[in-house]
Amino acid sequence: MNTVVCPKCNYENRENARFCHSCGAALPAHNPGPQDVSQHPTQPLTLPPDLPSTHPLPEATAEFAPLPEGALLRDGQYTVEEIRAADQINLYLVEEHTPVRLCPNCRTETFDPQERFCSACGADISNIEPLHLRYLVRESSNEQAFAAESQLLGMRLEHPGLLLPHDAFTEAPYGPPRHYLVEPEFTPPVATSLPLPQKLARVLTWGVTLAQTLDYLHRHQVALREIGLEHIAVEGKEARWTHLSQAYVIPPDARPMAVGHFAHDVQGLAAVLLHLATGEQQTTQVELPERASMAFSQALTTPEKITVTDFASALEEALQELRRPASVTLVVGRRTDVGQERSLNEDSLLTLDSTAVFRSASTPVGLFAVADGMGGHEAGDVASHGAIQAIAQQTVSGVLSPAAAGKPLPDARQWLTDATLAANQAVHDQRRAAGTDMGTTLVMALVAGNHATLANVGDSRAYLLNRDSITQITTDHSLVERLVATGQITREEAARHPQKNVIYRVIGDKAHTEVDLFDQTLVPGDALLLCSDGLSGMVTDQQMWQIWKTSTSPQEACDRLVQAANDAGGEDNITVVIVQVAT
Amino acid sequence: MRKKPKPKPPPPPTVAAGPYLESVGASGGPRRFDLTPEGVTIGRAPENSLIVTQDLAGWETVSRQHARVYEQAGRWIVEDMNSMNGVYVNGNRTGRNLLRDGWRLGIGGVEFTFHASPGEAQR
Repeated sequence: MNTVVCPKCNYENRENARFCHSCGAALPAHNPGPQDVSQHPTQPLTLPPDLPSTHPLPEATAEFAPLPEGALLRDGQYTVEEIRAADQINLYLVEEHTPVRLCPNCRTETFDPQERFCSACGADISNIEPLHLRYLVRESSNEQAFAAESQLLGMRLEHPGLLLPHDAFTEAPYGPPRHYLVEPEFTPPVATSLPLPQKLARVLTWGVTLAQTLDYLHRHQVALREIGLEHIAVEGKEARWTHLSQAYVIPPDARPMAVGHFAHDVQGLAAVLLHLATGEQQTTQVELPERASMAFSQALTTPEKITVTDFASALEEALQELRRPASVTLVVGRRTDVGQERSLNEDSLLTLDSTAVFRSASTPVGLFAVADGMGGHEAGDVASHGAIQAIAQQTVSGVLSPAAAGKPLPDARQWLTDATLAANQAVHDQRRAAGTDMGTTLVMALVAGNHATLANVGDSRAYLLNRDSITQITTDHSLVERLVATGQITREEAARHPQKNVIYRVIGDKAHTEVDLFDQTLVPGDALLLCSDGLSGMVTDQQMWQIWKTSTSPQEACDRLVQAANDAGGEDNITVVIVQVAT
Repeated sequence: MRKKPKPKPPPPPTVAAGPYLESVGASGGPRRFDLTPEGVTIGRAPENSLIVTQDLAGWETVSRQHARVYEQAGRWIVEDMNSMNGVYVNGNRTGRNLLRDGWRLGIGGVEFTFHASPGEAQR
């Protein structure tokens, strides 16, 4: 058997090995060609005189036609797995021969099988399964078909706003040379697939990236020349230039013409952004905010007077203008009272909020909660306090801390679920340690800007109040609510039902609990009201709304609501929190 | 640190039936041509390791040096050696192509079928 001796450690490796089995050093490339295939080396290699010349095969042609499955391209690097389309341009699905390991952290590709760590971010990739990547390959006999993109690839351009093909090459499998363009199997959708019009803020965000990328291209003397929806790949907030087959790398002797090309690009970008934002082609047909309108009309009518950098700044200013009015101010009222019949207040409440004002834009972040410790059970006050304390700690570390650092907030629904489960765990641990059957309800609202996300376990409630009505957001986890839901009693009977205090879902009762989540967008004038059943059981929804509407502040409303519950008998502890969006 | 060279790995069990090409249109029934990993050249000239002779139908359309078939990194590959009439895989002209079990291989007008060895993994 043939072997390959490692030049470093002299280990004898199997034939075809690419790396030394013992020390991992790269081995000299194996020559695939036949060295001496003659089975009879002694036989003379001269052709016998009677060997006739080859007859032409009638159907043989070197004309451009799709290659079969299994065809090898770029020196065997790509294997054709599927012929997707055959025409002027043939389209193949190919597989890369060298297996690659993708970094789980940053997606960087590592081809060297011996490498243990990602070269880009240093993550351990030794246990990552190597895989064969797939690509789409376009094939054309026209030398101009992929010339522009090959040239851009050759320039090694790199910009986050640029989506270039993976590879481009020229090869002659048989007959005249063919030209190839390699792209990822799955490419992001281009803007032609978008419904129009798109939100202006989104379009301006794309516009800023695209203009900045265009500036990068212009600085490399690349003009796009043709700009349309099909040249813009979009993924959420990200936009990238793609399919740049018409791009023109301006040669040195044509530099005087560059200004004209660049102005044409700016105009083209403005036109395509305007089309995305309005569905229209002209600025005059649609009302746009002042700065956006100015940016577009300048780029469309006098593009030669501005650079693409100017256009990028104009778009950025238009975006700032757009973001300004989304400012929200919260005003909070709170009150808790033992009531008329109980000796101990087992309710707890929490209001934690912070407001950052930057460039006159106010963005509040806050957590508001009400917990009702189990009435009649032992240590209900301990349970509601424990739950609120756990929520307060979670809020400071998970919400207020990132907000203060200017970092993105966690996903509200997930965070609320996790915080509720943490509160449940805390109370459940206390309950087991104390050997009691303590428990508590918990209703809370996480407010970020003008959006509230609410979580509920038990029969404390959250309401939305506005100029016209009061609406209960949460659903009680109470026996009577179930009886109402199944049609066994009416809502009026429920209010007087002897078992109206019995709830079937409680914080602390079990090691795990289900959480109900609700989303609520707030507009100026709206208010969220959180309360324990000491309020909602004593005062009707309509009365609550009337008191809120006729109060001059959320705090006054809270004071009057507690008074109303006490006036009606005050059978239980009364707690209320009102979070109002100032007009 | 330099590691001691490990003992040679044991040679793989020899497979009696290696991969082979089977001619389709031969006078006197199909003929079998065994393939060796280092490669087989195909053509009408006598220095080829697979010499196309008159008993194979279409033999006159085969060039003196027509193609070679070899193994590389576990894959069997056919390569056109600038032949006049070309190499075909499953009826389509190609330059350099994988061969998988049961695939038809056209050397000019001569038809073969490629059979992978039974011991090898089939793709």
